[in-house]
Amino acid sequence: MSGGIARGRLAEERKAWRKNHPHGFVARPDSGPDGSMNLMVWQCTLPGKTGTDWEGGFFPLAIHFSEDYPSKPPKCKFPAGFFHPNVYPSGTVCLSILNEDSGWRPAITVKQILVGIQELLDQPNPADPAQTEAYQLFIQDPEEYKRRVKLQAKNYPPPV
Amino acid sequence: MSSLKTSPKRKAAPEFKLEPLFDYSRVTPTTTLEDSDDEELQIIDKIEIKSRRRPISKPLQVIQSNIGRAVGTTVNKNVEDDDDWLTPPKRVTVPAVRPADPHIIQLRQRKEEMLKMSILLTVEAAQAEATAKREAEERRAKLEAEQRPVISKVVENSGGGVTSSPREKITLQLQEQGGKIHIVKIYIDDTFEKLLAIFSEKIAKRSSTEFNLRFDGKTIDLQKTPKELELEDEDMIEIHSKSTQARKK
Amino acid sequence: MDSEDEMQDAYGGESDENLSNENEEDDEVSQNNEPDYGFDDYADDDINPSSRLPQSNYTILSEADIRQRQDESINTITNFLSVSTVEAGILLRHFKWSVGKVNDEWFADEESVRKSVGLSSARSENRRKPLAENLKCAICFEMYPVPTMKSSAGCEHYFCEACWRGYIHTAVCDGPGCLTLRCADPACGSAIGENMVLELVNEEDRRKYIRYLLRSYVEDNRKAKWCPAPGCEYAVELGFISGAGSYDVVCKCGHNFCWNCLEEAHRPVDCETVARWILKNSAESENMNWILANSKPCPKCKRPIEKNQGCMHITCTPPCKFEFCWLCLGAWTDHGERTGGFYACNRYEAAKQEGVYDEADRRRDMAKNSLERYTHYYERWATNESSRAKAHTDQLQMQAVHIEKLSDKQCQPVSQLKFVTEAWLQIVECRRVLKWTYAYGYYLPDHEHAKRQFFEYLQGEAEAALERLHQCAEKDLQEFLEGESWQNSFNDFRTKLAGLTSVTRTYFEKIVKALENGLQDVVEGQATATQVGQPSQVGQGSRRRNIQMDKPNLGKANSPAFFTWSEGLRTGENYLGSRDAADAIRFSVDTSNLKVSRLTYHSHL
Repeated sequence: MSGGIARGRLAEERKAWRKNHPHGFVARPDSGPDGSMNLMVWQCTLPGKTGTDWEGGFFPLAIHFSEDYPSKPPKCKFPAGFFHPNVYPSGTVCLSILNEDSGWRPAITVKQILVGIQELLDQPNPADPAQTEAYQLFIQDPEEYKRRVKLQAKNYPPPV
Repeated sequence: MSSLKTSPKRKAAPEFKLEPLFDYSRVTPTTTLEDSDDEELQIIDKIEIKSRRRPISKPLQVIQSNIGRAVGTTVNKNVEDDDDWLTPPKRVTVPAVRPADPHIIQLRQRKEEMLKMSILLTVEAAQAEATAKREAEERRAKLEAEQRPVISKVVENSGGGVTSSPREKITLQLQEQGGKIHIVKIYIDDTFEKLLAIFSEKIAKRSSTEFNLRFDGKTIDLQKTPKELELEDEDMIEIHSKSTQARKK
Repeated sequence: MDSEDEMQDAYGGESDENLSNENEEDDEVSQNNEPDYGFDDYADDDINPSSRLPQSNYTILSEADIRQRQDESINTITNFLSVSTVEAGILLRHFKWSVGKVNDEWFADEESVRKSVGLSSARSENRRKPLAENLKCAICFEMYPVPTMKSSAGCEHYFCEACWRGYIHTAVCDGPGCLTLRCADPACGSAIGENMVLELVNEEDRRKYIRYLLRSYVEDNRKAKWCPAPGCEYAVELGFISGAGSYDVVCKCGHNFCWNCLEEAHRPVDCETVARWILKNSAESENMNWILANSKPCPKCKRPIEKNQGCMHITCTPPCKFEFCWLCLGAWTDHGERTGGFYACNRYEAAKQEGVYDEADRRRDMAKNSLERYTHYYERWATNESSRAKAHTDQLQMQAVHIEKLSDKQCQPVSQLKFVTEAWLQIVECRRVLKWTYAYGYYLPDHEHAKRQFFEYLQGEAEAALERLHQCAEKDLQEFLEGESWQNSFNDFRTKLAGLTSVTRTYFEKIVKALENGLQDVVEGQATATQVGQPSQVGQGSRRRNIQMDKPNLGKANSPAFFTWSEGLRTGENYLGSRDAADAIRFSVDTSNLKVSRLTYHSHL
């Protein structure tokens, strides 16, 4: 978008988020040690969906927006080493709506992204593996996969 | 916006088929109708989501012009526009105020606030029964009448009122775990403890110790006030049940 | 049926495919229908050499041609389906510019096509206008009056114009994907038409978009490809895709390439072999490096030498034959008692202690044989490539400069000198074929001795034939270019060069066909060895059969394929003989030489 509407849009996104967001989700712009706000990086938390193996986990996710946002999708990162078939070892999430060549549309909101990723947690896409470990287990050893998912959820307890 | 579906699959089909992004119904809050006579807490039923994208600037202008006349007015501009997909809003009647009242300006401001709120909320109240509407009207009228002395007291307490500013109120949204949303109006310098107490008592009917409040992922210190946390009108506060947390742990 | 019939069939088949307007081709087709499979069948059709150039059913398309085809397709669809040209464009791009596919799909299920392509349903024409006067743009989240906002043709998702411009600009910058751009709303699949894009882009994006539109016709189309030559703007469209056979095409830019794999033209080798060979070459360059690193150049002739015996006394291979010491690379004659003995060069020991020499003997035997074998083929492949490149330059030079000069000298109109150009084009083509026969040879399994020997024989013949042609086109022509005008002998030269050109062409075509067939003739030939003496064949080919059989040997008896091949060579000769007896004699000198080499070969069999 010409002229860089990224910040304006993100400020509006933040406003909208404060006023309405799904329960348990957190999405707030990064704040520096001096309290200044960086709209281009958001620190988020998404809860594992109730009724799935992911339930009980509150997973931290950083969203990095570029100056091209919302023309270009933001980059979503879990902590490095996050266990999920569609998360790269670096933590970057591989999801169609975050792919600038296919699924991304400028009208996709932060809320939609987060809910989309929450959905992805329990419904991995085996056609598009991003890490070997989780992918192999998901395909070959569902029991162990389940165990690992639950273990990971425990490692991300709700914020106190 | 209303028909989004989740689609975590990426490049699953080479054909360019577009699937809805995700199912919004999952995160859509349900409507609650709460009846409260509390003089400092107002809980208004609310239907969320659609209102966020709806233009509201036009109706608000109408309100302002009405306020100038300082008479009870029905604000239902939206009804004419959207009658094919929204039910008529509540009719809001505001009793006339004595012009000689020294607090007339404050009252007008308050009324404007009220009207804003009522527009915002009533427009969305698609499922509200006609009776419920009438009750709400009565309640609001009564509430306003009852609140007048309180405001006077505030002004008196502030020692003559150099700026003559009333005790400010803030509208907050309380979101329950299931997604239920309650609109709450409290004084901006009230503690959250009070807010939680009212919620526990009036809505949850459970002890307030079972809950904690969270904003932006952080548990709210109940001794703080919305003002201290720099909350804004309509900010959404989450109610988390301690017991479910404990269970999960 | 003996193997020559096979060849004849194969050839005839090809001419059937390539029905052209040329009369010669018609002759061939009619000949093909004759029951008699005589050896002289294709002796008469070489008057115009171009009839023998490989031709295929393809069209070279310029940009203008492509645009014209696009317009035609869009018009057709617009008329058939009663849709707008914009919609026709969207449909055609979706179905890869196949008018037939668009029609089929559309009439099978219009609604589902509309849905997948992103066209609004025919029934929902009266789409809902937004009721509010102002709307929030879902991209920048600002409020705008509705009349200033836009939506795609098929939906009611309104965004502000600035955001549309940004959205489309980003898509265009991202590449050809912008041709299938959809509405910016995540849940909406409505296509963004060409008209809307062009309305909202800047001049640079406009050019890009139009370029992508053009490219899509070639790049999405199964039947069209761009010419891979650098800077070439033509595309090549295949008329039909035959199951097998060659994809070699010649672009208008002069680039000769394989339509299938886009490598340079590589008949008779198939695409797979080419890919392997190219990969091998890049991999083997490592081995070449190994040679450089582990061999020593002969101090005299500089050829790399690898020590294959323990002895330090090295004798370079002939013709160099230089004798030297492996350790110090000094002449062997300088070595003796005073250098510490013949086999313990103290000059080396001294140097080694100073760290000058490295120990590399152990690795020297490694992979030696396979490398040698590969090097053999690679060298020849590469040499032929450079010869081809040289010939190509010469040919261009010939066309540009020498033809005119020759025309002056010999008082011949340029149009009468076409045969010279033809000869050079043939040389270039032959070098190319010959080059690829080395890749072929490399992959020919060792255990198929008969095939391998036959192949090597063919290759040898081809080399020799090409050498003759090259010599004539180069050296003989030089005399006419530089020497005084000899009117009569120039006519002889013309006959000779034209004749050599066509003989060589015939021969190479047959080689190509045979190699493409996987040298089936050899196998069949061996199986039907006894057929050689069959009366019908003797009857048909009696004249040359007699000539051939005047020196009977085991090889001839065993391998009728060889007859075929010698016949092939002689076909041209025969043709010349029938036109001009004197020239035929001139040729026969060469063929007698060939026979010697063939005999040599037979003695090995």
